Amino acid sequence: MSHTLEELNKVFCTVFMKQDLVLTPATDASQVEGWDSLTHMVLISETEKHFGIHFTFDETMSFHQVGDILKVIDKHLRG
Amino acid sequence: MYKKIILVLIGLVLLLAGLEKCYDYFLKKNVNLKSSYVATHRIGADVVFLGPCEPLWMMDPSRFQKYTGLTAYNLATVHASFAENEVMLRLYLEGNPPPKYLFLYVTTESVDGSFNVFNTYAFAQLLDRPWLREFVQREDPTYSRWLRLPFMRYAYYGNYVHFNLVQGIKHRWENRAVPYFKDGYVPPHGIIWDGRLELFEKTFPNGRVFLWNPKEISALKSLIDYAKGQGIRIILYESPMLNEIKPFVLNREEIKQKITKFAGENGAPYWVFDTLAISSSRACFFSILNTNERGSDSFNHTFANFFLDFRKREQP
Amino acid sequence: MQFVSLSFLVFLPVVWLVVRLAGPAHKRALLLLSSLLFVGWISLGALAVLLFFSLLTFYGGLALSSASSFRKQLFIGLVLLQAASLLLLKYVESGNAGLHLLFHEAGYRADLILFAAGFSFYALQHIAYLSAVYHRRTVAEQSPFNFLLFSAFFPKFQSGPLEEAPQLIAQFQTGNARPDQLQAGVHRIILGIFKKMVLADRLAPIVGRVFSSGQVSGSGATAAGVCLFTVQLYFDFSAYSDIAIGTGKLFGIELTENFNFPFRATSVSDFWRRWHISLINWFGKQVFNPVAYRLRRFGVMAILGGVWATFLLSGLWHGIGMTFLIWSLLHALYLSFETLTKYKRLGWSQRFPVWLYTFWSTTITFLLVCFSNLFFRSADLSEALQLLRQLMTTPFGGKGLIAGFLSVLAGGGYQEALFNLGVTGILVLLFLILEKSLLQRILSGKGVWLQSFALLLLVFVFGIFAHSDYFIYLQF
Repeated sequence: MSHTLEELNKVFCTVFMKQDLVLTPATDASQVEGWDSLTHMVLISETEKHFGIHFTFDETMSFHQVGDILKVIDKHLRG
Repeated sequence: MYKKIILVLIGLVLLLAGLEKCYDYFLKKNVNLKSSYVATHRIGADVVFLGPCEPLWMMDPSRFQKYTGLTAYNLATVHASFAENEVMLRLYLEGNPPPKYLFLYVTTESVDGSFNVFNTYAFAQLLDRPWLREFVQREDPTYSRWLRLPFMRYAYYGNYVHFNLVQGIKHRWENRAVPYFKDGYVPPHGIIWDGRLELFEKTFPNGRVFLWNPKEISALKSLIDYAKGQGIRIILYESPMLNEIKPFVLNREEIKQKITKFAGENGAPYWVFDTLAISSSRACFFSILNTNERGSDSFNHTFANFFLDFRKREQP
Repeated sequence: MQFVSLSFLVFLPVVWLVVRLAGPAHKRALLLLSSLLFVGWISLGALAVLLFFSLLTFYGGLALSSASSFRKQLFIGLVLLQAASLLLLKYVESGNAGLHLLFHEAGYRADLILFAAGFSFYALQHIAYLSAVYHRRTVAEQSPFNFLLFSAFFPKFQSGPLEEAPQLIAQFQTGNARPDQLQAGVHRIILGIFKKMVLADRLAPIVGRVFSSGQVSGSGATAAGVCLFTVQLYFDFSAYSDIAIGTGKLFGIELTENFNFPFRATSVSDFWRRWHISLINWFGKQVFNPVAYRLRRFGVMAILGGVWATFLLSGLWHGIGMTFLIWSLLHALYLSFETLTKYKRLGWSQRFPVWLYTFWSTTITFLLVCFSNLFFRSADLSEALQLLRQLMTTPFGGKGLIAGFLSVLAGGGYQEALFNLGVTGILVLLFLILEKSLLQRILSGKGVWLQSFALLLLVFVFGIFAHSDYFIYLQF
C-alpha cells in the first residue's frame, strides 16, 4: 500500500467510524458504508485537513473511486 | 419483434371481443339491473313511476296498490335524465304491455340539465338495439365513437360495470329470476341526513338560478310524445321538497309556471305537492328532495288519494 | 398532448415510422420537427416561450465560452432570468391554485399556465448547462438545432427526466434504436400506461375524497387517504417517466431513470436516492454540492447547510405557499435528524434481526414521507390543519368500519363502491409486490410479451377511460 493510500485509509476510518476498513484504488462509495453524496464533503474536508491541501470544487466532483482521490492528492503534494 | 407486436394486438382484439360477449351475456342475466330486467321480464303493471332517485326512493308500488287497487312498478333509475327515462320506458315496453298511467317526476332540478345524466353504462349490454344506439349517440357522443372497438363499451365505464358483471355471474349461477327489489322501489336506505342541503347552501350562498334547458325540454317532449303514442296517460308531478331549500332556488316560481304551461301544451297534467305539511321539517326527509320512511309513507298515501280523486274526475 | 391520450397514441407511431424510414441521417431533424410540433400542439405560446429561452441559453452559452470580460455577470444574468421566470410562474400558479386544480378529477389549466408547459423542467436543464459552460466543465454546444432538440425533445419535454445537454445531444447523433432498445421501449411504455390508467387513476378519486372534499373523516380514512396519495403520486409520476424513457428508447435514446422502488427505502436519505432521481441529482449538483463544499470546514454543518438549501429551493420549485414550505422543512428536518443520528441508528440496527429492522425502517420512512405529502397535497394551510385535526380523532369517526372508513374512501356505502375500492386495493398491493419482477422481465426480455399482453388486458378491464386526467407533475 502506498503511503498516500495508507494515510487516506486512516481518514476514511475516522470519518466513517470503521477501524477495519481497507481501501484499494478501486474502492468506491458502494463498498464503504456511510460514503454517499451527503457525507462526501465531510470526507473531502477531513482529507484536506489531514494532508494540508485544498481541493477545487471540480476536483471534489471528480472523485468516484479512491484512486481518483489518490491521484489528486499526489498532484497537490508534488506542488 | 414486429411479428410479436402484431400477434399481441390480434390476440388482444380477439380476447376483448370474446370478453365483450361474456359481459353482454352476464350483464343481461343480472336481474338487479333494471335496464336488463324490464326488457326481458313480464311485469305487466297498471301504473309505472318514472324519474331519477326521488321517485326511486319514494314511490312504493305496494303502498300504491294497497290504496288504489292498481298494480304498479317503479321504473325510476338513479340520476336519470329525461332521455334515460325514455330509454327505460322503451325497454319496459319491449317485454310488457303499456301501463294505463305513467307518473313522471319533473322539477326545477330535472329541467336544468346539470343534476341528472344519461347513465350510458347501464345500457352497454343492450346496445344490439339500433334505437338505443341512437340515444347513446345523441347523449354520449364520445362514448359512441369508441363503440367501434371491441370491448370499449365496457372498458370506457369499467368501474360502473364490474360489480354488475360479478352479480350477473352470480344470478346466472343461481338462475335467479326475481330482483332484490321486486317492484323496482328502493326504500330509503337508513340515511339519517346526507348533508346535501348544507353543501348546496355552501356552494350557492346567494342561491342559484336554474336553467330552462332546451336539450332537457326536448328530451321531455320526446318522452311525453312517445308515451302518448303508446296510449299511456302520462302525468307529470313534483314530490315534496324541504321548504328550507326554496329560498335558494331563486327562480322556482318561474320554472314551475313554465313546466305547468309546457305540460298543458302537451296534454299532461302537472301535480305539484309543494305545500304539504311534511315539507316544513327535516323529520320526514333525509335530503333536500328525498323523504325518509316516515315521509314516504305519508306521501305515498297523499299521492294515492290525489290520484283516486283525479281518476274520479276524469272518469265520473 | 398528454402521454396517455389518443393523440399521442397516433403521434408516436407516426413519428417513429417517419424517423425510422428516413434513416439515421435525418433522425435529428425529424426529432426536432416532431418535438416542436408536440410543444406547439400543447400551445403556440408554450412553443414561443421554449424557443425564446432555448435560443437565449444557446447563444448565452456561446457567449460565455468565448467571452473574457463580464463572464460572471452574463452567467448570473442568464441564470437569474430563468430562475426569476420560474419564480414568477410558481407565483402565478399559486394564485390560480394551479397545482391543486390538477389533483381534482375534473381539472383544467388556465391558458397562462399553458404558456409555461415544460418550463419548470427545461429551465432547470438550461441553468445546469449554463453552469457547466461557465465553469468550463463542458464545451458550449455549437449547433442551435442540437440545443433546441435538447430542450424540446418531446419524450422528456413536459415533466423530465432532467437531462444534461452533452450526454443527451451525443445520443442524437447515433443511429436507429437497436432491437433490444425497441423491445424494452415498447414494454416500458405499456408498463407506464398500466400504472397510469389502472393504478394512479383508480387511486385519484379515493384520494380526492379525503383531500379537498369538504367532508370530515375519521383518522382512519384520513391516514389512508394521505398514504394513498403518496402511492398515487408515485404511480402517476413513475408512469409518466416509464413512458418518457420507453419513448426515448424507441429512438435509440437512453433517458435517465427517475425512480428506483422508493417504497423500499430504509431511510429518507435513501428515499431521495429513489424518488425523482433526476431532479434530486440536479439539486445535488447545482445546490447541495456547492453549498456543502463552501461549508465543508464546518464538518457536519456542511451537510446540514446543503440539505436545508436544497430542500428550501426544491420546495419553492414545486410551488409557492405555506404547504410547500412545510413540506420542504419536514424533509430538511428528516434528513438533518438522519445525518446527526447516523451512527447511533447504525448501532441500533445491529441489535435487531435484519428483516425486522428493515421492515421497521421501511415503514417509518414511508409514513414520514406520507406525512410530508399531507402538506404537499393540501390546497392550503387550513386544509392541512383540518386534516391534522382529523388525524387526531377516532379511527372511524364514530361510525364504524364500513360507514366511517370504507365508505368514505369508496365514495359511498353501496356494494358497487366498496367492490371497486376492494379491486383497487388488490391491484395496487399486487403491483407493489410484483413491481420489481415486472421491470426485471422488461430488462431481461424473458416472458415480457406475455407480461405486456396481460397488462394491456388489465388496462382494458380495469383502466379508467372516462374522465380527463393528466400527470400530476405536468404542473411543474
